[in-house]
Amino acid sequence: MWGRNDLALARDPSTRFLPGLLAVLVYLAALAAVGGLTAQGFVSDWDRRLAGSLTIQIPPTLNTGDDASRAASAERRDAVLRLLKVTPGIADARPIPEADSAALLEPWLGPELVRTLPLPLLVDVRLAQSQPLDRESLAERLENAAPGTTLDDHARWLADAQALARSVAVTGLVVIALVSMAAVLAVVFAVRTGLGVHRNEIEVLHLIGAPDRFIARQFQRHTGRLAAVGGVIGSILAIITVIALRWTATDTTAVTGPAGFATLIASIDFGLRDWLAVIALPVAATVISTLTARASVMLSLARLP
Amino acid sequence: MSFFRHGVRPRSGRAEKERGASSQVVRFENVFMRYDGGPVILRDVSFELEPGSFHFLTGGSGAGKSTLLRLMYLGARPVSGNIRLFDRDISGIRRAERPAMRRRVGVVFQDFRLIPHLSALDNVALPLRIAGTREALIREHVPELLAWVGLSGHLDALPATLSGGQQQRIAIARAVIGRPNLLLADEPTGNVDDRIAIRLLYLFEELNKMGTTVLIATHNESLVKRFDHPRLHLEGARLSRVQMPSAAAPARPGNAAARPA
Repeated sequence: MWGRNDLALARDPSTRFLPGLLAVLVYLAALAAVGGLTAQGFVSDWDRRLAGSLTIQIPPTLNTGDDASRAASAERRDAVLRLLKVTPGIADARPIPEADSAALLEPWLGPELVRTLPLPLLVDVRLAQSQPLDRESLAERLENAAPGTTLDDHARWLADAQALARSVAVTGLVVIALVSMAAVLAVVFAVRTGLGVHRNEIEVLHLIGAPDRFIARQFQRHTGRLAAVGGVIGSILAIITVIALRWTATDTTAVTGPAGFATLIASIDFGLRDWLAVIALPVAATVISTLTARASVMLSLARLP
Repeated sequence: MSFFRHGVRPRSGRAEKERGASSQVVRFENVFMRYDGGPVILRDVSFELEPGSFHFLTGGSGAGKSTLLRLMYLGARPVSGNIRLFDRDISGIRRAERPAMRRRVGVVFQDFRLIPHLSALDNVALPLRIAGTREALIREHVPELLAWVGLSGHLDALPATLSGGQQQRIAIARAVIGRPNLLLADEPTGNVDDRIAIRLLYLFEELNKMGTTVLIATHNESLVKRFDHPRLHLEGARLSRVQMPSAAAPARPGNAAARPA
């Protein structure tokens, strides 16, 4: 397996910790990458789903109980719907049934309060792809048709979510950068120790005409192999972790119904990009370790007389 | 000895040209040598080694034989004086050029300097692997040479499991396998009996016949007497040429005459 050209120069106790350490580092990097990619995925998903839509909110008239106010509410709703129908740039407007709005609020307010509280009427608007919508004039005309009506294009909420997701992604990148640095330092340390341990052999190799790159090749091959082994182990552990997280989250969701964080984790879609990242990381670890070992040996040897 | 005849070592055209045009393989001019704070080891040493020559280097223990060899394999630099190796001033050789230069010099170190975790075969194969020789050729020539020095049964043995004499023969095989232009041997027969010593000397002579310049440091007087080669003698930090009794005869091919029947 090692080949006849292997001088076993690099194989000493100083490199024994490398596979384990690189497994841990690649594991952390993989989780950071999956986390970052997932956060980004959420944002682009929300963006795509919300970009073509608006929500119009018609405030309730104060007394929900009596028929008069109910009729007034219906009238305001119909006025808004009529207006929307003739507004250019709108493909479809669909009022959200009162029961659905109540179901959205129920987890926070409780079933009693939701039934008695006057709820605003919501209209879900799909924008047309072909025609731009003049939001300002629409808002103005809505105000005329039904005072107090607001128009929400989700921009503020989306901006917040994007900022959050971006910081998650940046954190992921920072983790990957730190992990790479740690890998480089570990390889440099292992290689320096190896050079020290094998000082005599290296002197002999030099005396019989071995160029520095011949010696460097011994170290870089061995270090690369160790890094590959560690990297693959780390990646496999990361995949297992993500699958386990999803499985736990799905389980929780099944018991408690859709609720916040668990839903988010359950919806992590381990897609092509994540697979690529998880496969690329051990490769990157191998390449980084190989190049670091080479550079480290070459620089150390160049300092010899 | 087909391990020599096949010309395992890839030779560059430039090296051939240099060799063809060169007047001397080694040339020392007024070389002084001492290690930091130590006594003067070489004082005003001047000599030349002609291409294809065969010399013994004699002198008592501590006379500076090893240091003289070390200067030739670029293992140390002189305090003053001029050393030319293959017609190049060694003070002008950059670090990056040293490996190519050293590959033209085969060295048998007094303390063997074998790589402890490599087998006999892998130790001997090192110069070839460094030179990038094909593995098939290595598998063919290295066992052949090791058989010739009497180690055919120890190809996979680690140096530590072998006797001093056996390790010495591995060191010699490693020095000659690449057919160097210059062979430097430091007490190469110090750990073997006379019968093997003579056999090893034949090996050096065989290499010498193919054009390698040979310099053997030894204090084995009987061996020096047995082989009719000119002799450089170190004493009191000075080097002198000792004329052999049979110096009237041409130094080579008188070799054959010096061989015992």
